[in-house]
Amino acid sequence: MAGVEDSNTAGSALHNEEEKKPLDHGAHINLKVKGQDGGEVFFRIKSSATLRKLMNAYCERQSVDSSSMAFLFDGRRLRADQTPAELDMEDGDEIDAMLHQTGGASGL
Amino acid sequence: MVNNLYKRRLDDMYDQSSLPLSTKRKKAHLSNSSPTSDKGQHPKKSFLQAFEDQYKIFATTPLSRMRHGTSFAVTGNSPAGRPLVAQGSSFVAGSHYECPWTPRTPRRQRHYSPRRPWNNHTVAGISARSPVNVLGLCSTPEVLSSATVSELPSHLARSSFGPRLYSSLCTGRGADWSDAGKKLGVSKGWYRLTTDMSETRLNDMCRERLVSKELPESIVLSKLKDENRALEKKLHAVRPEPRVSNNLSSGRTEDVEQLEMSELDSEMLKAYRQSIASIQGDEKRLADISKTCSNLQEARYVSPDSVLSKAVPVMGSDSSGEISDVVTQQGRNVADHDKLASRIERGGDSHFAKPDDWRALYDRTKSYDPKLEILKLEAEFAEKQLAALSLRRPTISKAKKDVKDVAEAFTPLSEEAEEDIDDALQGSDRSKVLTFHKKSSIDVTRAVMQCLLPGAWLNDEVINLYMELLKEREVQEPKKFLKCHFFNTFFYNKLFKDKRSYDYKAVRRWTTQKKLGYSLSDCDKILVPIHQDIHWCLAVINIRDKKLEYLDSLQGGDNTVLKVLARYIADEAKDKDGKVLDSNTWEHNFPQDIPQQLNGCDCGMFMLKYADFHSRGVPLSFKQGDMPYFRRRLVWELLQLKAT
Repeated sequence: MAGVEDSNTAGSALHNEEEKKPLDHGAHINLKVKGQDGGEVFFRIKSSATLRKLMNAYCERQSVDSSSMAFLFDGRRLRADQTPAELDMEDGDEIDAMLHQTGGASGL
Repeated sequence: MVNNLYKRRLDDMYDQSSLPLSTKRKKAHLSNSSPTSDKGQHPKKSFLQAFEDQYKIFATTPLSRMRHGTSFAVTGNSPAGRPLVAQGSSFVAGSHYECPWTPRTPRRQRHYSPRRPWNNHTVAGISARSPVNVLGLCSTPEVLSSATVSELPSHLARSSFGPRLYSSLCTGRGADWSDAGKKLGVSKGWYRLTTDMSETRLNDMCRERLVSKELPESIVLSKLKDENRALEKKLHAVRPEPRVSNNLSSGRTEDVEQLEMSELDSEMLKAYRQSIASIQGDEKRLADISKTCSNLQEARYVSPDSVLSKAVPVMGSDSSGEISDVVTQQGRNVADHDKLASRIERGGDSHFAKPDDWRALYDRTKSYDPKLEILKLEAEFAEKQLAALSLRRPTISKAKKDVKDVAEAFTPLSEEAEEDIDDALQGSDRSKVLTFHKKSSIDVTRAVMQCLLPGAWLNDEVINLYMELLKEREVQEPKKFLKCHFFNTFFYNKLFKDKRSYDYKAVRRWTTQKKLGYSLSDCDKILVPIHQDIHWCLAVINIRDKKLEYLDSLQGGDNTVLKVLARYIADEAKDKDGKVLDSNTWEHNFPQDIPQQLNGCDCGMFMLKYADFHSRGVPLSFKQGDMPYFRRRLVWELLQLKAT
């Protein structure tokens, strides 16, 4: 039972899985996490599972500390304990991964 | 089949009218090739062009009974001045023809012509597929510039097509309409509603206009003003007499009474002198009559009483021997008048021995009082209505409110608050979550909160949470704060900065009606935090005043930001509301006289306060010295999850 699965080329692997588990059950959805550098990582996740695994997997992959990353869905912050189902996420939806920002002055 | 019919009519029409060569060529083009095969030049477009060039379009009316799609009737005149009708399901061939009936024909009216108020206008119809083509709309200028203007909306509101028509009134185009536009309180030029306006959107727009307040205030106001002026005139006309009555009724003291009396005296004296003169004339005649009467009496030895009782009321007819009752009455009158006159003539020393005389006058004048009262009430009512209306107008005279609001931005913190703030900033467990905002899913740990310690740089969590709280504050007290939208710190990154290219699609779904419950273009201001790598700034899209501002506490300026945001707000209005915003012409401001930071750490705090004060709608009246307080206050507000 693969909770989270990632691949850089959301191609054939996903397609195969889709065939195995038809979407009308709504059990799994494909999500795309988009980094600030434009890089995209695809995940397949159970819609009733929390996003924690997805977030951790992404941070690990990007080699950043999970506390330095903020995940947005349509501009709203995502919490690790939320699930795609409660966020009304649909297949193919895009999550933005943003690094936290800080600032105090420029050129000083 | 249908198209052919329309085409024929179109051809007829073109033949009849004096179109310029260019359009005639188009006509030839249309008639030579069938619409379906003609892909190169859109027949609809050329038709609309020709139509617009040549015809005065006055109004559109949806023709609900048309079988083919969405249809509109448009009132208008052909160049020849003939009534015009265009109609059809789609403008494949630009189907329209001149009105074959007079607009009063009842049977036709049921189908096409606008209802009664529009009877005397020519009618033209135009139809289009959805999205709707509306060509520019209005009643005739004469109608608009006449007094019926103010009554139009009520007629229209009752009819099924009213709302649409009415909106048309406000959005027509062309020089002919400018006067009408002024009448309706639309100072801007009339513009054309074109294809990108969907029918539902149009309907909504009209409904908003009509349902919310039926008439534009300017109309009501001018109407009321007219009424009031009329009232004033009326009042003026009635005034001279009531003035006396007023003074009489109020003038209880001797002086006033005397004054009034002497005033009255002079007027009355004249009147009485006249009546005395006439009475004297009558007296003479009476004397003659009585003389002849006595002569007769003597001659006939008849008792005078019986003669008197048989008298005929003809004055001065000394031939007859009969004398009327009127004579005796006249005699009494004469005596009365005499008495009165002599009294008056004797002057002010013993004016009116009896009060009855002036009281009669007083009563007479007093009879005007009720009317005066009514008029007064009417005037008062009208004035109150005016005042109420002017209150409803968004005149922002906030000088007083400003002072109060600014004071609220500096309310001192209580001792308890100070303790909590100290605890939040200096406690030991840095990973402890101090505050959690469920709606935005933002939690703030102590480590994060410590960015509010003096000298530390602010992070995005604190800023985003505060932005959420500012929005909540505004939602709770919409009257006190301007309607703003607060973007989070990631917005500009997604829109432009990360890719270094404009990407509307990346943020298109951030601001759906479903998510926000409002539309950005309805806001007064949109506040966008801008993260310049190590610096915080605030961009303000001021929709109300149609300008863009870039607030930098270090006097920097980034015109790219404003250009990108101008483009964004135009795209947003188009995408969400189907509106066209001319935001690329809006002014770009980089105000330099705003509060400036004097260190290398407070820009985040300055940025948040720019947002706070903008949302309050007050001038940016803080300075570097306030920052330590603002930092602590911010901690408190975040802990309470409530911006104050």
